[in-house]
Amino acid sequence: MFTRLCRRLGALAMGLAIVGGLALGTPDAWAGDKIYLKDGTVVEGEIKQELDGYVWVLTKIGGVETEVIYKPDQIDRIERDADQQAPPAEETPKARSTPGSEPASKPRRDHVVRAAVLSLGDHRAGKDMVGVYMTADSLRRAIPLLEKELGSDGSGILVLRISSGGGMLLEIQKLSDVIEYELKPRFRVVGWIDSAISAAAMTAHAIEELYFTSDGHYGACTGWFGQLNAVKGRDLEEVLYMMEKISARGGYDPKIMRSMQINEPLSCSIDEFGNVTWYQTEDGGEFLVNPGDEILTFTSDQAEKFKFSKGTADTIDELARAMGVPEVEWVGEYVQGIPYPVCEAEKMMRQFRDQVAEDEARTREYFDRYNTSIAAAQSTPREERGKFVNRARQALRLIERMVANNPNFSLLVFNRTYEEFQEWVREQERLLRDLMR
Amino acid sequence: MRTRTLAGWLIGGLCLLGLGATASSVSAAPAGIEVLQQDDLDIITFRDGKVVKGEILEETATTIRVKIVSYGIEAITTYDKADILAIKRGDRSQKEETRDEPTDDEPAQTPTRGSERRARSSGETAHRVYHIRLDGRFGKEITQTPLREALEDAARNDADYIIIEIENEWKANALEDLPDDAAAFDELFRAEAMHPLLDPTSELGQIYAGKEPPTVVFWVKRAMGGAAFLPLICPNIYFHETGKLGGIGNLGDLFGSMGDEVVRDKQRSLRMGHAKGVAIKGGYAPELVEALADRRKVYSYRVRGGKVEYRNDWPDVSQGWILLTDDGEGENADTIQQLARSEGNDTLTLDAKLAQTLQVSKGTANTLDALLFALGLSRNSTLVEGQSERIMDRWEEGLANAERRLRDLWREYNEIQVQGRDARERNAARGRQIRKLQDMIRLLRRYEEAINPRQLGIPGEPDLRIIIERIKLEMMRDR
Repeated sequence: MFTRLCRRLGALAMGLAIVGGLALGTPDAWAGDKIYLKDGTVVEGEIKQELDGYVWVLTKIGGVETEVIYKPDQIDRIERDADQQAPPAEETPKARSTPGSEPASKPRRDHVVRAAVLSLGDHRAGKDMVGVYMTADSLRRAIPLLEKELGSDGSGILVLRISSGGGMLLEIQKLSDVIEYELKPRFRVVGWIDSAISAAAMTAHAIEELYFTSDGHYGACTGWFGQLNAVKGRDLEEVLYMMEKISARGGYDPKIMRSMQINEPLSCSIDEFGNVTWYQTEDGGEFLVNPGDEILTFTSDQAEKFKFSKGTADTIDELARAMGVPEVEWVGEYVQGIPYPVCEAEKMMRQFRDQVAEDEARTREYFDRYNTSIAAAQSTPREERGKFVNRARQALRLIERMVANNPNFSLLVFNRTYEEFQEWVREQERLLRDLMR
Repeated sequence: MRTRTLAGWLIGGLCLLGLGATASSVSAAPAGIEVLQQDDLDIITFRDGKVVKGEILEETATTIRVKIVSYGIEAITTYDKADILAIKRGDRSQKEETRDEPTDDEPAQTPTRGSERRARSSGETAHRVYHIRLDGRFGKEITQTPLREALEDAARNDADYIIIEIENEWKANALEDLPDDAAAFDELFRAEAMHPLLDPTSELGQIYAGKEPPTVVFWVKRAMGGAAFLPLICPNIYFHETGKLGGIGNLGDLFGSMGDEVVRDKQRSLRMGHAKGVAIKGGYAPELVEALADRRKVYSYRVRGGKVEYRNDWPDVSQGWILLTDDGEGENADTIQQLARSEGNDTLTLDAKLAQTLQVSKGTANTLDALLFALGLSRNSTLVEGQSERIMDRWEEGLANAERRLRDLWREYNEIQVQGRDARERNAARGRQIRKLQDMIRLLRRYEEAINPRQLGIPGEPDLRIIIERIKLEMMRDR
């Protein structure tokens, strides 16, 4: 047994030496990782997997791919992605930099990519409506925190975890613009689709790089109002056109989104190189994706099969693998009930949604308190009004806070623009002052 | 039942003998690195750098048994898991999961999807099985808070198998059961709130923080309506012989003729997206959910190469297709005779036999012992003495008490007369009113997931808060 073991270890060691030697002798510069062994050997190849210090390296020996495992005690150091360090910005479209922007404020570990998950909506908690819980304003407010955590040089990965059953049409363009003009220049933006229905899918459509959870779904983007009445005529044409432009941002064939919006058939073919060609007919392509009398919603398997998504991942580890990032530092800390680390921006986003939920539930209470206090003040002698006016002022502050947290409430609650709402607040303050005169 | 069990043991014994004979024929351990090329072999990497390719035959908490073919010679070797760095399972392992279902006389394969068995404390080889019974009304007694508490108890007890026996109430009223063709598809959204608890990549994994997540097994006695979506997210389902899963066939009828057809299509599409996602996560065909959910759809199936195939069309009998559901139109509509006998096919309801044929169920077991046997756990497991029954009972009693108490509190609030000689007395009465309302808010929050205030005839929290504010204003004025 001992002899056999020695022979086996000897064979393994010899295998390693031969591989190392060949790697030195034939520098196939096809992958960028370099493994410096303690015996002086330098192995070039692609690190496929790492576990407990063990490293699986794919190397080419005489053009033949071979996978070799190195033990922790064999390895001196690793140089990752040696060929791809500091790539020119134009070669990595997802890693654009902003001229003049500052690098990450936090020190980074060399060659380790930083990533953060930021949730947009939470459909399981009922905090998911686009325009209410998923807003351009709150997303914009997260940027400074994300810059602190990821930097803004384009190397940090921002994973937008989307979980929403849809919402307001008017928020889509605003959200899409924040993603396109404010997030993409700073970060590699990735969509992680848990549930993206209607306006949520239309928002995610600006992102080139989408991954689904295995139960993820995406689509059903038909505009409607009232008692299931469809958006029609010119309004519909405008939404279809808006989504053609947003499809271009994300690099998707506009036919896909069209089949998610209206009853349009969709089929596709996949060539030998994996390229997908889409057809707005049922039988134009090899695969029928959506019959003409239905509305398209992708599931994770369909999205992956038809290359709409880049992969399927249920955990951040799976996501990192799918993104092709072997080593990643996830920013944040684990919190019970949340399946990914919670970074500062995510904390802010969750507080935003919690506040919206409270405000939504208490809107009537705020107004009732305000109106009844005003009425009480008006029916009370001036010298006793102070307590009622104070109470009204407290209620007014709650209303102001509600709209400051989500400016869309000015429209949803007051049917006013934000500026008109601010004017209304000034009027109320004048009224309260007058009551005390 | 007894006969079947004995037969199962005999077959099991024969298998063991057969394997033993193979093992004894080659006593040598595999030499060096095996270079078998088949993609579907499992690859085991040892901490000393050795790599072995072969077929994993059996796995326990501490060991792994592997069949290796080297130069045409088969060898079966047992390895200590402590020496193993990583196991990469071949395509075969995945194929096997959907392999032909066990017969009544054969124990089913031990569930393997999702994870390897976790390492257990040294010397301990028995699996620890935790049993949770979910009964009562879906969304009321069957809900996330007690389920979470039970799972936390399972984690505390170091259980590596969790058997969830489900038998939800499916009643029209206190006296009448609902038929199979009754449906409540939209309870899907209620089930979604519970799914993270059953998902090792989500909350279940966190409950088991620092440990290998457990294997969850659903044992279906009745999973109708939203309850059907609980087992479907889990890759391991067994049925009781009277078990049923369905009651979600009304997706096509949810919106009647309201509004525009394209918007109704959208509503159906997004719901189907959610529901198919559940099936995909559980490892089931998305077509199965369509057949379960949409009365209008025609589905056929056949079993080819041990795998179930679905077809969204009428069956071509010559090709082995069998009708699963028809369109329910005209003469295809289920008759009252068929419905009375649970033989309708306008929508799909899975019973034990069909569930097994469609490979949704891995086997049929009428007792917990039989289920453990089917899972291959009858001789190497311990049933954990957990608190799950008490947790479920406590929730059920708490919920019933809360509903009663909420009605009482509302009545008591309304009975308080705000009278008195002076403001102090009147405000004392108002203070009592506020306390009643605050007690109601506390109860509503505690049982928020299971109580609908409107069904109890009481105001919800937002209205209660408005009432409290108005009372406070009255107190300010009455001074």
